[in-house]
Amino acid sequence: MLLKPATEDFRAIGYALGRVVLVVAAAGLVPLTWAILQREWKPLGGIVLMIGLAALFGASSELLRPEKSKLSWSHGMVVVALTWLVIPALGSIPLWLSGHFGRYLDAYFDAMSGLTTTGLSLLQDVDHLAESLNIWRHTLQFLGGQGIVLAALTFFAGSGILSLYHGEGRDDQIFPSVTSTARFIWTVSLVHGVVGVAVLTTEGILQLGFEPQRAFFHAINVFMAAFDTGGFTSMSSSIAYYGSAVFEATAAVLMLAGALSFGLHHALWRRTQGLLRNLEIRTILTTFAGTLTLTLLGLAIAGTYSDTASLTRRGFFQALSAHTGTGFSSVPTAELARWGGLTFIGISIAMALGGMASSTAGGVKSLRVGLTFASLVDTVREALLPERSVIATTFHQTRRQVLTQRLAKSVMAISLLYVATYLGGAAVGLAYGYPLTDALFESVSASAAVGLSVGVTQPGMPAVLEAVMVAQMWLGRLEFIAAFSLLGFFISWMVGE
Amino acid sequence: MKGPDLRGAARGLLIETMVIVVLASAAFAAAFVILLLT
Repeated sequence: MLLKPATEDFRAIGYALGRVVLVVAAAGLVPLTWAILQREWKPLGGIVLMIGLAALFGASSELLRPEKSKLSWSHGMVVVALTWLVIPALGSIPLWLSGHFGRYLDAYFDAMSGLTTTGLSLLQDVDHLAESLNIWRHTLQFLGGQGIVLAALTFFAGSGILSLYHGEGRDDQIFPSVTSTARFIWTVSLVHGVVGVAVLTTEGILQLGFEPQRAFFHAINVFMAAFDTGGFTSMSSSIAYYGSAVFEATAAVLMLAGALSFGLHHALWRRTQGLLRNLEIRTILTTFAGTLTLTLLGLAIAGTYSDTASLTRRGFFQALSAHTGTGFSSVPTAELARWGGLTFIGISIAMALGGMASSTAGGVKSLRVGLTFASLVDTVREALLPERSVIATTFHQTRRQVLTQRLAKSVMAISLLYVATYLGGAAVGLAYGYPLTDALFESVSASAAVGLSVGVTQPGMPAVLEAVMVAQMWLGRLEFIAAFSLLGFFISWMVGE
Repeated sequence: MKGPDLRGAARGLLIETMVIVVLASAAFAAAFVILLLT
């Protein structure tokens, strides 16, 4: 029998949601400051409206303060799922008011794409978008990549909503307390931010001939998009705009850093012995080598690039961009759409697999891929060995662990859900008349939070397909669990007793 | 309160940069061989 949620349940959820939404009010100060410094008065109204609504939402949640301060696990999941729907609605306000979107859904799509670190965009004429709004799009990516809940836990929320932490697809707890773990995650990001922005700004000034302020603007945006594997850029030609191998290489280091789990960052900062025994590292190195080879082979067979340097630069960057889930493109969309055959397969598989668990990347994630493969090997061994044989499969992930049936089952279930989401989105694209390859590519790109596009995502695309892609981005970023909890809560509310 | 581990951070950044250099070099070698064979 399903239990109908009580008023106290709604109060607990509403209160926690309000606390988390306060993050938008705080984050909105970044574009607000930029707009004031740059004297961009036109977008100011939209930014102020967003901050005001977020602050009002957050403050009014005080009225709902529940008697019990601790939020249950399932309620925490519901809050996370709602947070990732409400924040794009607020975050899209200044974008929508900018006049750069054909309809409101496009602005919501962009805010969701930013927050989930996907990077697909329906923005028209991004080259002439106000700097403050570009900063806001990239701040959304940064927030989403770091984890909104993580930000809320750090700055606003008390211990009562610590149960939200795991709802954002984070399984690692590097330190005994979530607060210490959050502090470490922010430290890693800050270090990469300071160094990354400094290097990119210097390159912008010295190599690209930008004015210091312009170089800083581009550097900060590229950092946020690369480290949080987002893929937005402030120019319509993406990373190709800079036309610099050194700039691309710097972005590549940040993309790699973003796709590493924060647990691995912790290990890299302290010791490196034994890291190659780690199942996730082995898996990602193997799958990256495989998908990169397919990409290079496809491009060579098609004769797209005839010299080694061009082939390496384009193939390597695109394969890395796909595998880390960043979505930066060093080739124009029209050219990417012509990358058929083996290259299409290589890039699509790289996107579908994604980066490491508990990183800012999306996709199935390397740990699940490695464990799925280990489970399959287990099944084959079971079939080949005598009936009474006892098989205990272990794997190395931080420490030696046993691959239990329960773990294998949950890994398989999530992996299958990703595949189903990829295929489901492709089916909708097909129904709208897009070629199978284009529909599948775009569907994988949205669900795995990558952001590479072969041209399906563009202003004026069918609204239903657009809404489906919004749902794919949301489901993929939350890794399904929180979304199922929300669905379960809704069903209990409707039919429970 | 303990300050940030700057030495560890520098080490992490160096390793990440080296990984990209090694991977890109391997990609260059692979591209060279592939172009030679195709």
